[in-house]
Amino acid sequence: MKNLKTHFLTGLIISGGLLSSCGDDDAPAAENEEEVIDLVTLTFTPQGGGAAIVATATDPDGEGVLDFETTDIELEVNTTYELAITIENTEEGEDITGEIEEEDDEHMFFFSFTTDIFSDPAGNGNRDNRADAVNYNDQDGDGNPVGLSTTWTTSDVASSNGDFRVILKHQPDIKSATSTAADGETDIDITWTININD
Amino acid sequence: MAHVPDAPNMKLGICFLALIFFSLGFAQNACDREITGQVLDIDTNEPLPFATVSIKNTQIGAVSDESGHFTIKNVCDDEVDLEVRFLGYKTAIHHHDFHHSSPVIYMASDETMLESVVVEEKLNAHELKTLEPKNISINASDRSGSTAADLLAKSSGVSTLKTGQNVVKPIVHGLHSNRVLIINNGVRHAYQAWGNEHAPEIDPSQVDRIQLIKGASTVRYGPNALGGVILFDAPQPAYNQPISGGVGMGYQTNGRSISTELSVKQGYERHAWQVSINGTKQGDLKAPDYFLTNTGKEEFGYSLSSKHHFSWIDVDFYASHFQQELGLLRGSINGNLTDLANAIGATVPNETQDHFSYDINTPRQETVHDLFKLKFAIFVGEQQFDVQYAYQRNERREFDVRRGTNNDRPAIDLLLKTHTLDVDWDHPSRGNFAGTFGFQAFYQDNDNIPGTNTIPFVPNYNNSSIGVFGVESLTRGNTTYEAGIRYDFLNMNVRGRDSSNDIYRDNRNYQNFTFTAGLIHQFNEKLSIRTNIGTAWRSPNIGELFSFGRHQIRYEYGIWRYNLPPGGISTSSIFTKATENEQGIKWISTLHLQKTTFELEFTPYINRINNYFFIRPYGITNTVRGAFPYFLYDQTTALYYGADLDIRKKWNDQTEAELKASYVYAEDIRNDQPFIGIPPFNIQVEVSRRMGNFTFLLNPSWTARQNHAPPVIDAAQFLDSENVTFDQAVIFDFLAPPASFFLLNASIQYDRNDFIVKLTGDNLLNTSYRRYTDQYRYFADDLGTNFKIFLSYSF
Repeated sequence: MKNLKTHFLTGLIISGGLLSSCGDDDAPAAENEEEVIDLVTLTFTPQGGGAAIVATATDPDGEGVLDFETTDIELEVNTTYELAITIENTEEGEDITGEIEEEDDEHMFFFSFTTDIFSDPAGNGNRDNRADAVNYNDQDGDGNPVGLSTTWTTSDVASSNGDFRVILKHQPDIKSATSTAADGETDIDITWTININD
Repeated sequence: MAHVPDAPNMKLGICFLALIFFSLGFAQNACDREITGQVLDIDTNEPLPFATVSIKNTQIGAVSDESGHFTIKNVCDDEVDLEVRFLGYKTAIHHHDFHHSSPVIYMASDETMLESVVVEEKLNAHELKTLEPKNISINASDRSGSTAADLLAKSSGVSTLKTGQNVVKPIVHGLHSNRVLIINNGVRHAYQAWGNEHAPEIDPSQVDRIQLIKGASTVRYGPNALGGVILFDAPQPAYNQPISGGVGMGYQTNGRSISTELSVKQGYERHAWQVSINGTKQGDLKAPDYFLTNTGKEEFGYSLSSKHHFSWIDVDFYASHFQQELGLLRGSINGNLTDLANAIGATVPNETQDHFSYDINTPRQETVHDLFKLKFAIFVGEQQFDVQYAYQRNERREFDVRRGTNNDRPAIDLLLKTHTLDVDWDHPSRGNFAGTFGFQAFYQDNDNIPGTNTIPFVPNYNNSSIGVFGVESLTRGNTTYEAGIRYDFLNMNVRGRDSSNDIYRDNRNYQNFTFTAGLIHQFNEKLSIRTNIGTAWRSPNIGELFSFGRHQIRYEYGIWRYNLPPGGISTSSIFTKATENEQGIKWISTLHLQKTTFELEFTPYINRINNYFFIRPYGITNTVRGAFPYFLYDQTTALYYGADLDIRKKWNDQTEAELKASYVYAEDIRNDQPFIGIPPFNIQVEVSRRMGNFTFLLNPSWTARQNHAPPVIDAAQFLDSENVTFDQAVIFDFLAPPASFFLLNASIQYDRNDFIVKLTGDNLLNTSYRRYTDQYRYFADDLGTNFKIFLSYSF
C-alpha cells in the first residue's frame, strides 16, 4: 500500500512537472497581409492639359473600428477628365492595381454619383442599372469593361457636396456583358464627396 | 485572475489521497459475491427479459427482468463461466472474474450470422448516477453519408448548429461549441471549438453508439460541459469471436453521394482486434428549387483497435484517422452589407450553377483529425484503476474566396496538438457507499502554420490544465444520493500578432471549483425520478478574447481587442482586461414511467450561466468595402430553461411508436433580451411496423417558428439611411427567424440473415424550408427530397 501511495504521488508530481515544462514560446510568423487595401487613389487628369486632381481614401487602422478617410474631389465645370484608379496596400508596399489588371476578367468597377453632375455620362451611373452610361476606356479579354480608366465630362453647372461612389466587384466566373453591381463580392465600396466648381 | 495560490491545491491533493486509502484493503468474504449484468438484443439494443443466466456446472443462476438486468447472489468463486440462454438466440458463454465490472450480454438471434457478444467493461465507466446518459444506438444505415451531429439530432433536447449541410455541430438544450463537451472514444475531443463554423471532426462511420448527458457534468468530465456531454463510441472488438466483418455501401440521390465502409474483427480468449476503413464522396446538394453550388464533400477514415485481457490488467488500444474536405455554399460569401442585402433578397442564392458537380472550390474547409489512445484498467485487490493516455492531432485549413494565387492558400491554417491523461479510481462499495475519484490533465499546443498571407485570426497558444474530482453515492432503500466536487486549474499562454504585425503575449491562470449533487428515487416499480444540480465552468475561448475584424458578415472585436474609454472606443492595441470564468448552474430532473407497453420520460431543466460570453452590436465602421456594423464580445447573465418529452408505446412485437418533443427558452436576463439562434420548439413521431423480413418506418416532424428572437434591422436599412441608429445593448439580427415547417421522412428495411437493404426517403414532400439554427438560412433553403439506399452484408 505504501508502495502504491509513493507511486501515485510520483505520478502526480511527474505529470505536474510535464505540464509546466513543455510550454513553448513561439509567436506566429509574420505574414504578408496581401488582402488588405488601405489606399485608393482617384487621379482626374484634365484633357488638354492642366494639373491632375487627386482624391484619396485611406485606412487609418486596418481592421480596427476607425472609419476610412476620404479627401474631397474638386473638379472644374465643363471639363473632360480621364480618371485613373490605383489601389495599394501601403503596409506591404504592394500595388494591387496590377493584380486587378491581371485578373481583369474577374473584376469590374461600377460607379454611382449625384444625378447630372456630369454631362457625359449623364444620369447617375451604372450601379443600379448596368446598361446606364459610364465611359470605360479599358476592356478585358472578353471585351467587357474593367474601369481602371474612365472618362468624365463635368456639367456646366457648379454644385457641391455631391456623392461619387466607386465599387469594385470581384466576379470570378460571373463577369459578363450583363453582370451587375449586385453580382459577386465587393472588394471596394467607397463614397467620396465631389464638388464641381466654377 | 490572480495568481493561484498553492495551498488549496495541496490540501485537495491530501484529501484526495486520504480518500483513496480509506478504502484500500477492504475485502469481501467468500460466498457473498454478486454478479450483476444486463442482457440485450444485439440488433436492436433492446433489453431481453426472461433470459436465463447460470453459472456453468452449478445450480446457481438468475433470470433477467423486464429491463434485461439480472443479479446472481451467493457466488463463492473468484472466476466463473456464465452461460446465457434465451429461446431463439445463440447461447453465450462468458468467462467472468471479479476484477471486471458487470457484463452486458448482447444476444444474437439464431437468424443472423452475428455471434452473441459479451461486453465487460462499460465503455464510459464511472458516470454520474443522477445524470444517467441517454443511449442512442447507431445503425450502419443511419451513419452512411451523414455527419456525427446529425446522428444525434433525432434525440429529444438536441438540435444542430449548421453552416450549410456539411458543417454541423450538436446543440444540447440550446448550447453548443465550447458549452458542450464532446468525448470521442473516451477522450475529450480537442478541436477549434471557438468557431461556430468549425464542426467537431468525428467520423460518423466510426460511431456505433452515442451517449447523451443533458446535465452539467463538469465534475466528472471536465470544463466546458455547461449544456451537457456527448460521448461518441466506435464499435468495439469482442473476445471469443471468430473472424468476422461487415461491408456496407450507401448511395444518396441528393448530392449523388457514395459511401462505403468495411470492418473486420476477431477475438481470441484474451485478445481481440478490429480494423475498419470508410470513405464518402458527395457532390452539390440540392434544395427543392436549385442546386446548392459548392456543397460537395469528401471524407476518408480508418481505425485500428485492440484489447488485451490479463488477470490483473486490461489494455485497450485505439487509433483513428479522419480527413475531410468540405465545400461551403458559394452564395454564402459576402463582401459587404449591400452584398448581404442582395443575398438575402435573392430567390436563388448568388452564383448558383444550373448543373450538378462534384467539384469543391472555395470556400472550403480541410480538416484532419488523428487520435491515438492507450488505456489500462488495473486491478489491485478490489480496486480498479483506469489510466488513459491519448494524443490528438487536429489540422484545420480554411480556404476563402480571395484574389489570384491566394485562392490556393488557406486563410486559416491551424495545427492543434493535445495530450490528455486520465486516471480514474472506483473504490469498492463500502456499506451503501460507492464512488469514483479521478485526475485529469491535458496539455495543448495550438500553432498557426505560416503561409496564409494574412495576419492570423487567432494567436498561437498553449493550454495546460489539471483537474481532480471525487464523486460519492449512497443508496438507502429506494433512494440513491450522490454528490461530487471538482477542482480545475488552467494555464493559458498566448502569442499573437496584432494588426500591425507586432507580437503580443499573454499568460493567464484560471481556476474553478465545481459541484454536483443529486438523487434518484424509485416511487414504485414503474415510477422513478432523477434530479441533479450541477455547476460547470469554462474559461474564455480564444475567439472571445482575440477576434479582430471581419468575420463573415460582420466585424467582431474580442474582449481583449477593444477598450471603451470615455472618449470613445479604441481598438488600437491589446487590452488585457480581467475576465471572469463563465459559470453555469443547471438543475435537471427526469421523471420516468415504465409500464409493459408504455414508457414516458419527462425532463425539465433550468440553466443559469453567469459571465456568459456573447456579442453585442456597438457601432458602424466605414471600411474599404463600405459600411459594416461592428460587434463587441461582452459578458452577461443568461438563463436557459425548457423541457424534453419522450413517449414510447408498443402495441405488439411488430408495431411501436415514439414521440419526442423539445422546447427551450433563453434570455439575456441582465439586458432582458433574447439571443439569436435558439432552437425553436420541435416535435417528431416515429412509427415502425415489422412485417416478416420488412420493417416500415414513418417519421413526420414539425418545427415551430422561433418567436422569441431579437429585433431585425435588415441590411438594406443600413444602406438606405446614412445614420442608422441602434441601441448598443440590444442584440439585433439581419433577418427574422424562418417560418415553421413540416417534414416527412420514411424508410423500408429488408433484412435476411446477414444481408440488409434499406431504402430511406427524407423530406418526401420536397418542402422548402430553412432552419433558424442554420447560419446559411440568410442565403439558401435546406435540402429537398433525398432518397438513400443502403446495403450491408456481414460475414
